[in-house]
Amino acid sequence: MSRIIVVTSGKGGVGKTTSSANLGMALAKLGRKVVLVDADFGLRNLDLLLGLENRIVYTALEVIARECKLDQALVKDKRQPNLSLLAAPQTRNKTAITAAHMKALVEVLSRYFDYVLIDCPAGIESGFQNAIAGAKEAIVVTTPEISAVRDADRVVGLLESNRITDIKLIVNRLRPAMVKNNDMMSVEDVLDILSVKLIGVIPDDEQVIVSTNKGEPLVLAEKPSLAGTAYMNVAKRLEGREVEFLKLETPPKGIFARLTNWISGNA
Amino acid sequence: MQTSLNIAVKSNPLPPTKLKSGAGDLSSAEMPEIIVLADNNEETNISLAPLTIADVEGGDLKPISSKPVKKFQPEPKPDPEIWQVRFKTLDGKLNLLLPTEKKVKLDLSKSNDNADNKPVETAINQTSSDISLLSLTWEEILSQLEQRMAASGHDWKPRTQVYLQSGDRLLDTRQLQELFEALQNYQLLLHCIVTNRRQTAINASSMGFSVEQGTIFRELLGFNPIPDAPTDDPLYIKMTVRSGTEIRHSGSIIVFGDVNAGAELISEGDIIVCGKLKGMAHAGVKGNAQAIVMALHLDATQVRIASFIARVESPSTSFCPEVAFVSSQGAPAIQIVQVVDFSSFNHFTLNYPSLNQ
Repeated sequence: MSRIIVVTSGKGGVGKTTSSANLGMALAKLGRKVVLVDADFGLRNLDLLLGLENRIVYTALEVIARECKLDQALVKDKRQPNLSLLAAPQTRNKTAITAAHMKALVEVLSRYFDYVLIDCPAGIESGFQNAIAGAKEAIVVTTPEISAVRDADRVVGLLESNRITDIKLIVNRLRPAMVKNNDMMSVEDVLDILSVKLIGVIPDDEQVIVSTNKGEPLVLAEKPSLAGTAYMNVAKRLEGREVEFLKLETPPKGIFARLTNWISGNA
Repeated sequence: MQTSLNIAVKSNPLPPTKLKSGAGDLSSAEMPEIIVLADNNEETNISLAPLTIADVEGGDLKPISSKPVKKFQPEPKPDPEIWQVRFKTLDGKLNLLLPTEKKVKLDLSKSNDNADNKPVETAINQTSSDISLLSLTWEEILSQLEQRMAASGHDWKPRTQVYLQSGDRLLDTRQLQELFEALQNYQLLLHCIVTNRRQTAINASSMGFSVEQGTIFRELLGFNPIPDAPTDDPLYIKMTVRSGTEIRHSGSIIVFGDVNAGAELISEGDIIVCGKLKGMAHAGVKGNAQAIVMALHLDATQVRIASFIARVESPSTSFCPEVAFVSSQGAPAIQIVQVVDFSSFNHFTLNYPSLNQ
C-alpha cells in the first residue's frame, strides 16, 4: 500500500522543499521506491536541491496534457535509483492545472511507487489546494517562530477540513542555545499550540545552505551532519520505526563528544 | 482579516459625533462603495487607534465607551440571515442550512440611502457586514460543512436523513452531488431538498432526491423578535478551532477544545470554551451586554462583549477558569474574574438601564 504524503507549511521559507528532498532521498536510501512531485508550479526548486535541473525534459504539465508518457517525465536520480522526480513546469503558473488533474496524477504514481511525496507551494490558494488534492497524509513543516506556527495552525485546519487527518509535524531550524535562553519557542511550545504528532526536530545547520547550493541532499553526505541525521530519523519514523529524538538540548563541546552523538544518532 | 475589521467597526461604540470628527471625510459619503471596499482598513484604523492606545494603556482592562450600538443596528429584517453552514433538528428532522446568499448591488445602494440621512456608522455597519458574507464561495461552504460535521458529527445516528433547506439558493447537480458525498462521509443521507428555485428542484429530482417546495421555516432560523437576546439554541462543537477559522452563531457557542490565536468566535449569546482561549471571542454581538465569555484558560489578546472591547496587555498567568463580563460598577467595562468568584458579582440580577437606552 503506497503512501501519498504532502509536505506543506503555509508560510514560505520554512524548509518545505529542503524537507521534501531530504525525506525523499532518505526513504530511498532505506530501500523504498519514492517519487517526489514538485507541486510548486511556476516556482520550481526541488530539482535544484536534488541537482537534477539539467536532466528535466518533460514536466507534470506535459503529462497532464498527454504530450508525453509518465515515465518520460520521471527523472531517475543516478546516485539513488530508488528516487524519481516529477518536476513542475517553470513557465506556467499555479492556475495551469486543477485539483482533479493533480489527484489523478498522484493516483497513477501511487501504483508504481511506495511513497509519493508532494512538495506544496507556500500559501493557501489554488496551488495549495491542488497540491493537497490527492494526498492521504500530510507533513507540516514549521520553524519555531510565531508567524510560521500561526500559518501552520491555519494549514492544519485546512487539511482537516479537506479530510486529511493524518498530520505529522516537523519543527525545522531549531537553535537549542536560543531555546535554552528563552529567546526561541521550544518544541513543546509549538506542540502546545498545534497539537499535532511530532515526527522530527531539525536543528539549524549551515550545511543545509551548502547542500542546497551543491544540489546534494544532506542525507547523501558521507559524514552526515546533525540535520542530515535528523532527516534520516524522520524517514525511519515514517517507516514506523521507533527512533529516539536527537539530543539537541545540550550540544556536545568536544569533537569526540560530537562524534559519539553522530554515531548514536545514526544507529 | 476583512471580517474581523468589519466587526471592529460594527462593535465600535463611538458616538456618531466623535466618529465624524475623527473621520470627517466619511460623513459626506458620496461614494460609499469606496469607503467600504478600498478605504475600509484605513478608516477602521483611524477610528480604532485612539481607543486601543490612549484608553487601554493604563491598566489591564479599561472600557472604551459606554454608548450602546443598539440604535444603529439595522432593523430586524423579515428573513434573518444565516451566517454559516449549520444543522438544526426540528420536529425530529435534521435540517441543513446553507449561508444566505448576498447580492452586491443591492447592499451598496441600501448603504447609499442610509449615508444620506442617517449617521455614518450605519452605512459602515450595513455594508461591511454584507461584504463579509459575500466572500463565501462554494468551496468555503463545503469546507465549513466538513468542519462542522467533524466537530459535531458524532452526535447523529448513522443514516440519518438530512433535509437540505436551500431557500432561494440555486444549486446545480455538481453542487448537490458534492453535498451528498460530504454528508455521506459522516453517514448522513441527503434525503430531501427544500427549495424555492425551480431549477434547483429540477436538478434535485433528476438526481433522485425528493423535493419539497417552500421557504426556510422561521423556526429553523431561530427568529426572535427581541433584538438583543440570543436567537438560537447553543452550538456545541468538539474541535480545536484553528487560526483562520471563524465560528459565527446566533446563539451561545460552547467549544470543547482549544481556540487558537487567529481564530474567531462570534456569538449572539455567551461563549464558553472548555480549553485555552487564545483567539478572539465576541459575545453578545448584537448588543447583549449581559453575555459572558468564559474559558478554562482565558488567554485571549482581545475580548469583546456587545459594544465593549477589552485588550489584554499581558498574557494571563492564572491557570484558573476565568470569565469576562460587562461590569456595571462605575462606568460599564469588561472585567475578568475567576469563575469561582463570579457569583459574588451578582451578575445575573443586575440591570443595565443605561445600556439599553
